Amino acid sequence: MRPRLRWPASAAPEDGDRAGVAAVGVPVLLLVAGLALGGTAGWRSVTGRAAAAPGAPVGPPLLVRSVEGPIEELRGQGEIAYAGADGVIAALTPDGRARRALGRATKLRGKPAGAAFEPGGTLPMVSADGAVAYGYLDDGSPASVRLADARMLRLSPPGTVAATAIRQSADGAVVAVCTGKRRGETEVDSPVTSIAERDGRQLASFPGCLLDLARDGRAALVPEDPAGASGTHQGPVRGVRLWRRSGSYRPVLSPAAAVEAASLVDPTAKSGNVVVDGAWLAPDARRALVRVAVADPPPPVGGWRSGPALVLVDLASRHWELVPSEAPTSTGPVLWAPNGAFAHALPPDSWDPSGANLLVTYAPPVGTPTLLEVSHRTDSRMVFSPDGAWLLLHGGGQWVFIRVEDPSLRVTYVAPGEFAGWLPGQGTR
Amino acid sequence: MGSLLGDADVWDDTPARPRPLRRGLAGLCAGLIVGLAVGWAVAPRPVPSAPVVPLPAARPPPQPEQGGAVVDQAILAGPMLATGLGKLQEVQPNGISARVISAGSAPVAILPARKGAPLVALGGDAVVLIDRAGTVSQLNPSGFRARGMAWAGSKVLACGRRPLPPDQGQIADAAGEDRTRNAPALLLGVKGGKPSEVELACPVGSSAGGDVIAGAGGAQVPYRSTTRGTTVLAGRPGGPLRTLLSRAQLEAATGPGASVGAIAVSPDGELVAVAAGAAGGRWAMLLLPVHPAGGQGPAPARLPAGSRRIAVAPGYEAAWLGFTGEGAALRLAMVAVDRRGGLGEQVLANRAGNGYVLGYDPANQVAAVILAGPPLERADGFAFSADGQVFAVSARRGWTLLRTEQPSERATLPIGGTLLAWPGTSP
Repeated sequence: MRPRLRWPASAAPEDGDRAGVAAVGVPVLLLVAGLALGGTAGWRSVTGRAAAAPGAPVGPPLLVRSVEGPIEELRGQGEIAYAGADGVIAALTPDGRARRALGRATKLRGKPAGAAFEPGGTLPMVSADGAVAYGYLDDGSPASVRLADARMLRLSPPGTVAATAIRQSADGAVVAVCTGKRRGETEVDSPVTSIAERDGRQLASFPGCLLDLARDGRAALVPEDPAGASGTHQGPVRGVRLWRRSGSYRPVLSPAAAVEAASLVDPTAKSGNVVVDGAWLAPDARRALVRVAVADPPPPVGGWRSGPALVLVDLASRHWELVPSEAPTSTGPVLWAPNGAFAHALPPDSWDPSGANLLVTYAPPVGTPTLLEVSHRTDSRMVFSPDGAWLLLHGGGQWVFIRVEDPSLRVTYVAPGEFAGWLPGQGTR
Repeated sequence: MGSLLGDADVWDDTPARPRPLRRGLAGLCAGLIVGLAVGWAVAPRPVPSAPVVPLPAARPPPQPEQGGAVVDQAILAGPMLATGLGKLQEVQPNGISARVISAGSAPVAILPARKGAPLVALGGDAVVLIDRAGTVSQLNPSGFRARGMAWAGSKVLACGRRPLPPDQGQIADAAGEDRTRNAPALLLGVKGGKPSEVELACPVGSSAGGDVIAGAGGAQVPYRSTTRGTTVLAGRPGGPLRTLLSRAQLEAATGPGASVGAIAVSPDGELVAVAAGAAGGRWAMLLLPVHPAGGQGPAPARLPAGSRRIAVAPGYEAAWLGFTGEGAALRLAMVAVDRRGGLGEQVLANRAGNGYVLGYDPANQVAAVILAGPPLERADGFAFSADGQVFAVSARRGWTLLRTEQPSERATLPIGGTLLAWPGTSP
């Protein structure tokens, strides 16, 4: 093959044309290349980045408003499901960068009969995989809605209503409902707890209302006295025991122990006047927090009322100990983190407009508790992130994320909707 | 091009060979130069950042982290007395200003202020007077090691111990026990005079006016490295003392081996609060009427009529008792501290554990935990304000103030030192 740029001694006419083209084209091409390279170098010398390269991957715009704090710290914390004003249930990454619609659950607008004052009782809660929303129909009966196609499934027989809030396992595959026939405004006759898979297939049932469902759905904290609980109406809970799906029971906090625990705070506690007003099972199902109080305490005098006692029970040994927790005027939520930590809140008095500081005590799995103070806040509804590293206060129209190991690290933004669950996973981006 | 020797010169009309590569390279160089210049000229310049001018750092005054309203209430209640770094200071509840009362003494307790009377303090095993100039003078005789005190009328009731004889002291030392033995309490005149003995042991307490005194008594039982009394006595200063609680009643209400750990008398002198228990055992707080209806209970081990018992959580011991208010506004606070594990022998400020404060309204029998957890971690001082509106706790991480009638209202002040008393007035 003949070299292209060799100049022959006698050139043919067509060879001369080709040479002319090359003589002009090559310098022009190199000149343009020089211009491009030089321009690039000049641009970069000023801006420090490539001019011709497509822009560096800039994160998508924030989908939340009024952000305060290092929101990027929330990256990789799964998604938060919420119900928007338009009835659409969506999932938002906590760092506010991505959002996806999960579906609609507009029929879930009711609330359970016995949970008129239970926070979140009127809102649907989304399963961990974001596929199903659990809530209540207008008549108070529990139901689930498959978000993909809005297919609704009743979780109790017709004519019955939910006595307490629906509980679901951590993965949302098992759901527990306590239902019965409504009597009056808030009472429910002969309540029965039904534990079922999400498709409605019943796994087990027992009389009375459960207090909490295990993370894996295989056990539940239930009232100590099943006869009392399964009577004509849901009676006071005097003690707590653990129900297992195998059908066996084991004691957790006997009525006598509940009285003894309550008497650590209230000297009027005695057998017959002490009730359990909440119980929460640890993620490993080896411990439980139980709150006991004197029933029908005297009306508040000044700023004080008789306070409850929160006790931590080791289920294997049945040994219990007081968890010192303030409750001089009101009681707040108690919740476990997936890593074995727990938190309990002391909400301020709602009538107080100025000193409204919410106090949350965070007890890590190891070490001394930490006090988290949130000013100007009365709503104490809260939830842990799937890894337990963050605590989200999701009430009051504003979401406040607090890193529990470093409470000074906080992120706040306007809630895009009503909280409906913190879904694990990396989120969709 | 060239010429051949011997040949006539001839013109070579052949056009010069174009050199595209050479021209191209020249163009490339020119392009690079021009491009560089143009690129540099047209590239957008970043907005220059504002110059950072370092300002001299001003130390901000300590501000309450939360609860400004509570701090305002506390300021109305007047100054507090705190100790730290070997001096006694008057601290304003906003934590901003402090005044040294005495630079040479670091007391562990202060008696409530009396109008016209000098400051009475307990420190260094002695009851001392501190005058306005900060001069310290000892009240109790030498050889008496004061461990507690209370007003008794116009006098000071000091309880304490006396050193063992040297030979017994060495034995006690070898056994890791206290080198002192229990001794009768002393009534000390503020203006001097010979002290008189009162058959009371530590702890002691008195009503607001000092017209009712109470203290431990009875047999001394071991309590860790020392001993404590097993009964509770009360009466008027200088008058006969009556047994409010016998040893049998004390043990029945708490447990075997129990002794008296803390005593407080209500301001009106009608109630005595007692915290008792054994080292490592269960503790309880007992509220006893000074004048029980119907006298003592029928059985010797039963509490007197009108008494109340509140059990202290297992693993906790009552470290402080205090009353405020009168009548329907009477309030009692009990501080229970974690004594589990290796915390038992630790003094308050060295504890890593926390505890809780139980508030009790005796008139309405309403009780609740009003403070708990982290604010009590390494807590070492507790006091009601003189007007009873605010309760304060000093701890290593800062002081916590809470409104007595609305305990969920609270403030945290980033100030140090140990709270001793809250007299509300300057000494």
